Amino acid sequence: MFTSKSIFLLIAIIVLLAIAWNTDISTVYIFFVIVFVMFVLSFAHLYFNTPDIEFKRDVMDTAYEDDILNVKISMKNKRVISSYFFEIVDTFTGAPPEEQGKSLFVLDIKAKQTRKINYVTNCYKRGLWKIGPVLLVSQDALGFFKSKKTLSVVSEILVYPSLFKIFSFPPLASGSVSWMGVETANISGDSHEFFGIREYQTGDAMSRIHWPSSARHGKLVVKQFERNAVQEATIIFDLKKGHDIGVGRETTLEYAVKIAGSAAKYLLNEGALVQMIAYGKKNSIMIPFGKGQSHMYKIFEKLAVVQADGDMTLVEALEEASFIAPHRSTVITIMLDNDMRALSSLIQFKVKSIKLIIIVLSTSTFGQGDEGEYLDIEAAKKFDEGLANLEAYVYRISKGDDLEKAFEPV
Amino acid sequence: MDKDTLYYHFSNLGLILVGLLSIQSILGPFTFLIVVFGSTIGFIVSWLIKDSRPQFMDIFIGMLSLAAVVIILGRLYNIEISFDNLLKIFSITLAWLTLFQSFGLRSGHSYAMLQFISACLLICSVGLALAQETFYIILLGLFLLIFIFAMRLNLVCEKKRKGSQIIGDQEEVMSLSRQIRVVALMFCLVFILSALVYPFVPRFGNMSVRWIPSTLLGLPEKIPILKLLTDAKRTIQDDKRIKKEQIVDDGSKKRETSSMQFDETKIRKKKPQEKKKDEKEKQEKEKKKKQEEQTERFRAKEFKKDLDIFKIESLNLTSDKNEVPLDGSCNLTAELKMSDGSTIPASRLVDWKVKGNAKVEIDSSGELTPKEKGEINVSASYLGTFSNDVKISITEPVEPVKKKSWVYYVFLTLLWLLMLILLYVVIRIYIRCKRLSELKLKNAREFMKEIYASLCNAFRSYGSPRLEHIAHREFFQHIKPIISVNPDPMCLMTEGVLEARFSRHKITAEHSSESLRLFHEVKKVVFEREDGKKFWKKGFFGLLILEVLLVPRK
Repeated sequence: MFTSKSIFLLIAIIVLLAIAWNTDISTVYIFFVIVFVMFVLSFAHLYFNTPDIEFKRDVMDTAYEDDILNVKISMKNKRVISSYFFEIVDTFTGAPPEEQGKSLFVLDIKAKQTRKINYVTNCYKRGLWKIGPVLLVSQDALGFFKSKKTLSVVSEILVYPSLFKIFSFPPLASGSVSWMGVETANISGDSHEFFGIREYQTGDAMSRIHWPSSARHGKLVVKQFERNAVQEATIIFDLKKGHDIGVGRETTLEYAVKIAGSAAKYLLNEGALVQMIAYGKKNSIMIPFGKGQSHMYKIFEKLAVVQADGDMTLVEALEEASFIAPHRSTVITIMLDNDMRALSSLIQFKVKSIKLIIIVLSTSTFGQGDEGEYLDIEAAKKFDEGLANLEAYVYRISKGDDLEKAFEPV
Repeated sequence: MDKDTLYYHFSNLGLILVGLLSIQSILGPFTFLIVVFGSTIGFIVSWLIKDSRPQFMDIFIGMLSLAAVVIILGRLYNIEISFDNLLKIFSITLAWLTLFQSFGLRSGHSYAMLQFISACLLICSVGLALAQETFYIILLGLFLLIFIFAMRLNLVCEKKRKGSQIIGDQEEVMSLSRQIRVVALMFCLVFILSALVYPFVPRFGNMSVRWIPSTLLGLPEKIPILKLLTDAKRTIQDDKRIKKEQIVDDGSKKRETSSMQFDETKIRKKKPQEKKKDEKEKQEKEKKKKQEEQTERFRAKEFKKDLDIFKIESLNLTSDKNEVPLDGSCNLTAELKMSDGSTIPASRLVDWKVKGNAKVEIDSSGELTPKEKGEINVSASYLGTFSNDVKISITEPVEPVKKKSWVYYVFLTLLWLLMLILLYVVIRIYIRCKRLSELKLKNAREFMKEIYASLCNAFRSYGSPRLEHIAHREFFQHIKPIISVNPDPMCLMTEGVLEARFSRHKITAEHSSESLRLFHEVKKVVFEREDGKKFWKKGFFGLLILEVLLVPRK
């Protein structure tokens, strides 16, 4: 209600009255009266100038990080008198910190008039955000008094993580015979192409024996077909509480999410089957193998909301993944460079002849984590040796790196 | 060009000119012209350079303002501390402050300060009753008109400054013609309502609940600064009337009887209508008396020519001093001038009459002994002849001029030393700031390191260790509790500095700008801390980072 200006005016009134009473100077009385009248009039005008607004907002449901969001607003003055000089503050917590309250200063709105306004804001960070509520700040003609009213008009928007373009990626494991996720077509024929013949081996199906060739060679010969191979990739990253290092958008989790999303997009576009595993508390990701656009957006939706709030470590997540990652598939792990236990745990995949692609985030460049673990030279050396033993394809990512360049072919 | 901002800028000049105009008689014509033209030029300059202000302008303006305040307030040492003098000194100080501040107008606060100064000047002028009431009413009207205009524009300009999106037809709503119409309407409304309310304002004289002002008036007797208020002149009209009466007195040589003497306390309590009636009655009585006197003189000249030789032509009163301290005295000499040209000493013969706000005693020989401070008019009468008035001021006892001790000279030397240190600090800050500004553009890596070091150094006021003895991240952990409200900017800054220090990629001006932004955010977090009794720490912190704060952000 009161602003610094009105408090100053009130003090001026008291001071002028004190001077007037003590000196009995007529002009000071006149000063006092004028200031007093201004004070009262401003206060009264505030009530006449407070608009009764019907507010509507139209905004997209989804967007990507760093997208410019166009918000359309429609507001109607329900009163029979015009209102002037009032402010609308629309809150969007997904905007950059300094732009979270978008201020719109309305010069005038006539009685019963509907005004349509557009404003743009930036989607700063991934997540499920709310736009609103709206704060309506009205004031008197001279700005001495203000009144605030909150309109509970709330819209939701899901902001996907920003993705970068991956131009090349290490070849995935050749894959296994799998029909999971392979779509069928409404045409006759067989996708099994003839490859050749070979001598019968124990375990071969009897139906595969090529009797004419067996008669010709005098021994059992079986037909061979081309295998219908599907490439499968499992993406795993860490959501344990305290393992998110850094501030704002420059954290290990944000980098991991970006990389996971971009890799998933690339692999799905290449026709691979992708599954994703990350164990958080509120929002875990356990998406089984799938392909296509709908699967991709399912992954993005999960990635948009994940937070590092889980209790399970990456080691535990890898152990879980070892049961569901098929043989001859690929496991893409995004991990911190101080997680020695996770590194040791990756050996089990090597044993199962699962191809490993490891993306290591350099924690020292992101800052200090809550647990304060740092790699000394010895530990770093040990980590590098462990990594080398895995014979995996390794990417090292530091804070501020251009991720597109980091995934460029060498 | 933003028209609203332009109008707002120069409407503030209008307010300032009104304020200065009201105190022109205090300033004197020469100073008045300097301040008025200087302020006008200041407003023009600050408008022209609003987008490209020189780096150290604020420092110079601050220094000049400080110097002006110190020099003008220094006059208080030599002059008597009275209500009038205090108001005068205050007004002159504000006038000079206006001049310097007008060159550095930028934010909303600087305009608000000038508006405040302008209002203060107007009130001071009224308090001193420097001009007629009509003049003040005109000034007040003008001030109000411009003030309403400025306040309305300020609403829009403030929002623009804060980055609000303006909705509506600016050309129509904020057009000058429409603004003037609205302002005129509001002005009329305020003035009409004020005229209606004015008669009902409770005055000291006509308050029905007398205990309220009495209580208020009890205070001035106890508080010296309020006591000064009670010594001030009453109303402008009363003041003028007193002067007129004195002129009439001097001209006619006619003394008022005690019942006709000006009684301030009565005037205070009388209503304006009663005052006017009293004045008319007084004037009529005076006219009658003059006529009677003239008639008597005519008779004496016409019919008693032989007695004219012994006729008293005039009674002259002189005093050996015009100012008498309370512990002193002065001699009054009365001389009768006869019509034959001779003079007769009559100090012992005359009847003395004293008028004024001081108490004095006059013995038969004409020696005046003061009892109370104030001003008096002394006159004498002898056989129907009245003397001229002698004005005597009764002052405080004069204290003997003390010989300045060595403490005084030590103090003076220390003051000079302090001035030199201040000068050194200012020059050092200036040089450092200039260097940092250059580094920001030319060597971002070094710039980031330098400002980080400054920040860490400033944290020493909060008891943090030296940066030289500790790693950057460890230092951050040390000061994290100090900035616990929002440690992110400091964390980002630390990481940025480490990146600048150890990375091989190019560190550009963008990095330095970002680092400077984070620096200001850290400063904001520290300044928003509640330190309680240790508030000085903030001041010390601010002083230590001043060189970086002055680096332009753009």
